[in-house]
Amino acid sequence: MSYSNQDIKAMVDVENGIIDRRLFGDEELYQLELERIFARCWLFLAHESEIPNPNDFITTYMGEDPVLVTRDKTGKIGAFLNVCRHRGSRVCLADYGNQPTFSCNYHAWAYSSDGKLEAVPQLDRWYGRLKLEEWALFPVAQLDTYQGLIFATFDAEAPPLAEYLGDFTWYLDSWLDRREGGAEVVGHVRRWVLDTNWKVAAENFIGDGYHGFATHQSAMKYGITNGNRPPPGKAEPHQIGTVFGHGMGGTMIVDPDISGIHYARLPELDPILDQYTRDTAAETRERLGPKADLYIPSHGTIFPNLSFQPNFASMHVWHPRGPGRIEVRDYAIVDKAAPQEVKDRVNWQCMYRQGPAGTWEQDDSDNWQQVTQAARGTVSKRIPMNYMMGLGERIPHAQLPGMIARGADHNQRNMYRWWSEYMRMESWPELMARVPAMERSY
Amino acid sequence: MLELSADLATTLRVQQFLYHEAELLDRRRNRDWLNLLAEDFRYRMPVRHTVYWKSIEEEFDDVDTGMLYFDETKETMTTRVAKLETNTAWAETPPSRARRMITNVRVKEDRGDELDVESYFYVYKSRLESTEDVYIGERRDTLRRAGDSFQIVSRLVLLDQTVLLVKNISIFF
Repeated sequence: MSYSNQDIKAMVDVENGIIDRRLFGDEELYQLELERIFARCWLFLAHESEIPNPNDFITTYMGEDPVLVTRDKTGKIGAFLNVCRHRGSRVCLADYGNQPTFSCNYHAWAYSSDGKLEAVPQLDRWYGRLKLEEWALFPVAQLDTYQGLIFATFDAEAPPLAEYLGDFTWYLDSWLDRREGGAEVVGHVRRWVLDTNWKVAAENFIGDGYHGFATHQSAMKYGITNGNRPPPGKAEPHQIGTVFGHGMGGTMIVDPDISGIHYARLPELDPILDQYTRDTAAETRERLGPKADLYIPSHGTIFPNLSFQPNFASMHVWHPRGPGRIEVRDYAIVDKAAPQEVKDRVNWQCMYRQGPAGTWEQDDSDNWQQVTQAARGTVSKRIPMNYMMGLGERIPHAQLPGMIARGADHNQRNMYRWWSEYMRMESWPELMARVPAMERSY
Repeated sequence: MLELSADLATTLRVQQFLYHEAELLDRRRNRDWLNLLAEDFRYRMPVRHTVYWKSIEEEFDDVDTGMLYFDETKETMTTRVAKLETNTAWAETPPSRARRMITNVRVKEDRGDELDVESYFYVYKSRLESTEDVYIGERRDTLRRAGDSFQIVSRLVLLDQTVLLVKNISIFF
């Protein structure tokens, strides 16, 4: 089976909310995703606070390509394929650390932390043909940071990061830039595997506020809430989708006497966090402007595979490992300026809910696995999936950007609309020529 | 020369206690298991990473400042058990089948009222039709004598994986 652009276009019907089940299981579509999405879009690598010092490094992935992320001796961040330019053995085998040079175990080719090939044993046996400057570690095409989040792309023609994030930057500010110094990660990343398609996870975080009451009822029953509890009638759930396929779900404040700043974490669960949120509210409002009062971000995804749950201080990356498997990376994120006691409490609330043992997260596993398994059935995969919730509903907002609606499936439809664009585009310039017309529909 | 930190009877008693604990959990008797935990119980399972030899002291995150999978007291464990008892905790509804193989039990220090004990675990969990999760590692416990048995005062769980090759940790061990 070889899918044409027309075949792919037919798989996502945004107008009627019908999406082809093959998206969650088809091997060919997955390979196309690796080419057309993961080798082209901006992908999250790491948070700057993971590599604070010169010669710090972490290893991660872009799609299924192993990547080494370093801060060189001058402090400049770089990212390279973690693939020796000789035969391709992995140059760096550790998850994180600090060193100025990486020496490949196989033939001892040595690279400095800025990716340059510094030394090759027995270089004379190349008889002058090997110019070291031509065999540096293969760098990403572009690298940039936003609010401490390091992103990179393999595509030199991708628009700048700020343009790719677009309207979504305000929502990142609203939880990563609440105080001077921004945010930092706690400890080192948690990692585990799930038998699910990466999009099942990405779409859940981009806008599935709907599943909380059913999937996570056992946690909520015992007070392990998701916070965000303004008094009844003062706020309403809202989803916001942005250009390039990103989306955030949360709560819109509808009563001007209430401020979203107060509810943006889990303050009501912990008197010390409650006090901290009150004490820092003025600072946050000054940094973010009055929009911070209007909206409480709850969950979201930057397309393709970086998801957030700001009210849990949590961030996830879904690394694809085939159409039916992912490696999850899970972080807790705290204000850098917060006192240690506050950081510990925020981290604990995150740890109790998220991660493989998390009281919320563990109950998602079976659901996502079963959804993914259904996509393997010969007959099942002929039957489309229902993304019809909230069809036709739009609630423009005077101050907040993006495509806004009240409930679930709105952001998912937006995400898959852009999935379809990326899967069919010839190049970034070709897509960017069409974006202004698409933007007018937001 | 092999130095043993406790006499034969104590070592056997500790070992049988850990097997008894495993049996309670294997048989899904979570409330009975909670009764084995001291009121000042602490349970922590830090993340582990692949680091180079020079950083080997840091391969586990610091339990006080780093990232963990579990960071529990008796109260938070009790809430986890209550959550499972709703029968709507989908990670364990329908329930998994688990078996905890506890081995290499050694008393590292006997202080009279409390003992430091280490054990290895191989925990097998099977779920639904073909979902299997395996947890392997080491536990460092402090036990407190309670009559002819013990209470668990603290447990540090050190897993042998960095990327956990499991879909969740929905059970206790």
